[in-house]
Amino acid sequence: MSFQITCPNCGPRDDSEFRYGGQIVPPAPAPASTSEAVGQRSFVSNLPVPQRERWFHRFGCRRWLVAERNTQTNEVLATGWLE
Amino acid sequence: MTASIAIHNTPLTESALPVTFVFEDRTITAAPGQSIAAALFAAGVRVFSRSFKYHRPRGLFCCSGECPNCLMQVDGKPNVRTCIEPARDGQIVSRQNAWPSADFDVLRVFDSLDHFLPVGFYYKQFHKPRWLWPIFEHTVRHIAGLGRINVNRVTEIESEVEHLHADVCVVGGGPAGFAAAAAAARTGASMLLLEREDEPGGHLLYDPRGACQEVGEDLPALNECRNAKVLLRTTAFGLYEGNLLGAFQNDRLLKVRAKQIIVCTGGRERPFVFHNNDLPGIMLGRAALRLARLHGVSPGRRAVVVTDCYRGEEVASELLALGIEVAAVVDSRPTSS
Repeated sequence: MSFQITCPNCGPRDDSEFRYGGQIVPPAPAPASTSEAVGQRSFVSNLPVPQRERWFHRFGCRRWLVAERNTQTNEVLATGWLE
Repeated sequence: MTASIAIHNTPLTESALPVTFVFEDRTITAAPGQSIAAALFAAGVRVFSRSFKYHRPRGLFCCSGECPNCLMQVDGKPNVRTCIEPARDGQIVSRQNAWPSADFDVLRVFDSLDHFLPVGFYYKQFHKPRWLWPIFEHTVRHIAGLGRINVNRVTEIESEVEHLHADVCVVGGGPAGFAAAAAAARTGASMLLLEREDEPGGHLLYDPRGACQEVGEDLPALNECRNAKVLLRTTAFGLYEGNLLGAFQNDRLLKVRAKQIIVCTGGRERPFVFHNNDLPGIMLGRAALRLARLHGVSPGRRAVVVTDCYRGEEVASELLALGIEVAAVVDSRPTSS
């Protein structure tokens, strides 16, 4: 793993400067049961498609950002601030 | 080392005095710029190492840091490629993987016992009977492995990582590399050139056919460019995701991120396959030329050139020019063109 992420503040930097903050999942409908709630919280989609993720620029500007990354090729398609 | 241009900024060219180092029980004098192996060859050493398992004698073979034949212990560091390691004052050099010495190795007997030593014999044969295992372990541990690490010595190894960024990164500082680098630098792109050796020039350094004019023309052009950087004694070792090029300069790791990477690493000669082709005295044509032209050491007096291409005759004529008698040129091609 050695791709680059373009930080909106610092520019293109190595991924080793960042901390992964997990996938951003769209809000799901209210769970009908406890097991469904557990499923929503525990499982990520993990699909080979571009996914939105949180990243923390730990050794840089120390801000959270959103990156859209293709999980197959590690290509970072777009970055922006986390609202 | 990362100033705008670092060419000729090597400790080798600074002093023009000969250096002396200790080799086993001898003191060897080396000309400035000579590698350890070249100085040893000039001093009459022919067996540089012993092969890993059968302890066959191995001589200087490639003289360019690509084969394991000249691995030695240098200042407590095992497996140093002495053919590209410059000789320095006060070095302590010794051969490894032999007992009692590399010239007369008792363990050579393994070569005639090869039927009893199949692949993996060291861990398949000796575990029975169990009470003998401690003795076997002691013996096997002393015979196995290459070189010795002094566990009491704390080596001062810098382990820095440097991140470098460029538009174009050229790997190899031979004529092709320099032509590419000069062309890239002329366009205004930031350019980084990595060269493994102390001097740029590649095969032109020891092969006079092209004369050094081509590189000579490109060097001033590169020196003028502020956006060009030449790193010497830098070896690239791998290309990773996102065009990340890994390289090292001494103990420093370089992580090079370049938009374009141009590989100009040149050609390699391959050994002929025949019985006993690993014995000392058999070397690649380039090794002979490198010994003579880079280190000023004659590779021998009489030579037989074995070839399967046009290079054989070229090597033969260059050996003749160096004053070496060429007994024969053996060409394996059915008809010579």
